Amino acid sequence: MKFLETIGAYLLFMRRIFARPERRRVFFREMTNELEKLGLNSIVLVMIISFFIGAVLTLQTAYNMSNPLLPRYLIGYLTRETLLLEFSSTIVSLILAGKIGSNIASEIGTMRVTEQIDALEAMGVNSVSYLVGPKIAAALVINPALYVFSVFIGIIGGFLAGLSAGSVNYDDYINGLHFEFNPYYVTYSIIKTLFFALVFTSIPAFYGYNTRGGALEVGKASTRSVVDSSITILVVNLILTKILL
Amino acid sequence: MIEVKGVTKYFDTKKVLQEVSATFEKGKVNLIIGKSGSGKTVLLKSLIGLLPVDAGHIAFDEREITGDNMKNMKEIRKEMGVVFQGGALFDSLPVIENVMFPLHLFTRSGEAEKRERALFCLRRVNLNDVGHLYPAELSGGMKKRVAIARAIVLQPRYLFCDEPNSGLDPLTAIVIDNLLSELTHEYGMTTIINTHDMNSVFEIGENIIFIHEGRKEWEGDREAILHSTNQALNEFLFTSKFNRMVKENIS
Repeated sequence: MKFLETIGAYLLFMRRIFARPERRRVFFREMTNELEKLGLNSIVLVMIISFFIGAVLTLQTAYNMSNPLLPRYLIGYLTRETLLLEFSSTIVSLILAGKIGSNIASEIGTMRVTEQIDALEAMGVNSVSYLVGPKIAAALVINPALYVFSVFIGIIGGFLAGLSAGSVNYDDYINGLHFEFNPYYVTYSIIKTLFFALVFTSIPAFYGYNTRGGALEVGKASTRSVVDSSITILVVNLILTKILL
Repeated sequence: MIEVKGVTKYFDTKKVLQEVSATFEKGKVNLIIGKSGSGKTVLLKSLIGLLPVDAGHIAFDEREITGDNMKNMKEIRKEMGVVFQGGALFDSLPVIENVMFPLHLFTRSGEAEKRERALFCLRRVNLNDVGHLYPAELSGGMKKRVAIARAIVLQPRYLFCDEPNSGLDPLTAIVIDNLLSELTHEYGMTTIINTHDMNSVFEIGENIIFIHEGRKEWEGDREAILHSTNQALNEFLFTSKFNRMVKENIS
């Protein structure tokens, strides 16, 4: 029963997010700020993780291909497929759910307990639309871009690790990257990143907005939002994979 | 002038406001006093439209905001300033942007004009050269003054303050009280202040409403309060030996 009540409250919350913003100029100014806060500040993290995961994927694939009948270009191929289909969309989004999600929940939660949201409402501002709308819009822009960036960096990481460890040569790796490339996988993953962006911004915002009490409750809202948005991302991933592939 | 008639508010089954009626006069400092948990913040939040009431009427200069008349609130919001207990300044914005915030929302003035107005309001609350600072860099008293500057930036007709001097030392508290009183008379605002600070009651209270267990228990001015025979009010105001002594001497 409590679960259904939460879902209902979340849907009502989402309806308020998509209300027309009072001032478009204010909305776009806030969205630009969010692009910097959510997107640019995540680039280094995405870059480091993607580089090392790409490197490890290549080395592990090479290590498990002791059979001489298996062509070496499969190393590049499997690295690419893993990055394209799952890692750069789902795993990066899960990481961002932790980084960005906890940030959003604690920011909005603190605004709630320090009456900053009441101050906005008292000024006649639709606080949900004002606070959450620009964050979602920014995440919808930045998450697909981070996906493309992550794939690119992961492939470079795999290439450098494979080459330096002598696991794969230049031609095999490049051939593997080209082998049976299906552009639809990119479309599929970008669609997933859009849904994940909606999840890892709106769920933490919902928990932050409904925080009552003090610092302890802000911390709880932050933790709960990361757990719930991560689980939701996994469920949405399964559903979208079933529908789109 | 703000008129409240028979306002009742429930939280689940608990009645937190019981048929409260009062008139808050224009150009005067109206105080709502009462113990913590007496319902005064609920009354204030109902007046500013943050909490819908379950029964009764609230009218701002004959413009109803209860029941089907909530649409009036949109217009009235442009005419009201609110100072919250902790200041409720936006942490992510510097002081100047905090004060300019209502101007961004409600006016189409140019950036320079808005900045000039915000600086004027900051000077009016005796704050100079703080525009570039962030709220976290301000003292409690400065935060309250910035919150007041933000509340008056649109030259409101109605000013609401929720315990504006809580957490401040007595000297700063009196500075804030006097500032609110001066601004009320200067702009002819209807000012409503929630407080349980006795200094505020005797320093600036021109029209005082005492709320006790969700009911309006007493109404009068600071002169009348000294001669009141209301038991709950006297218990609230004159609990300390010092205050009792003052009352006995004056009586």
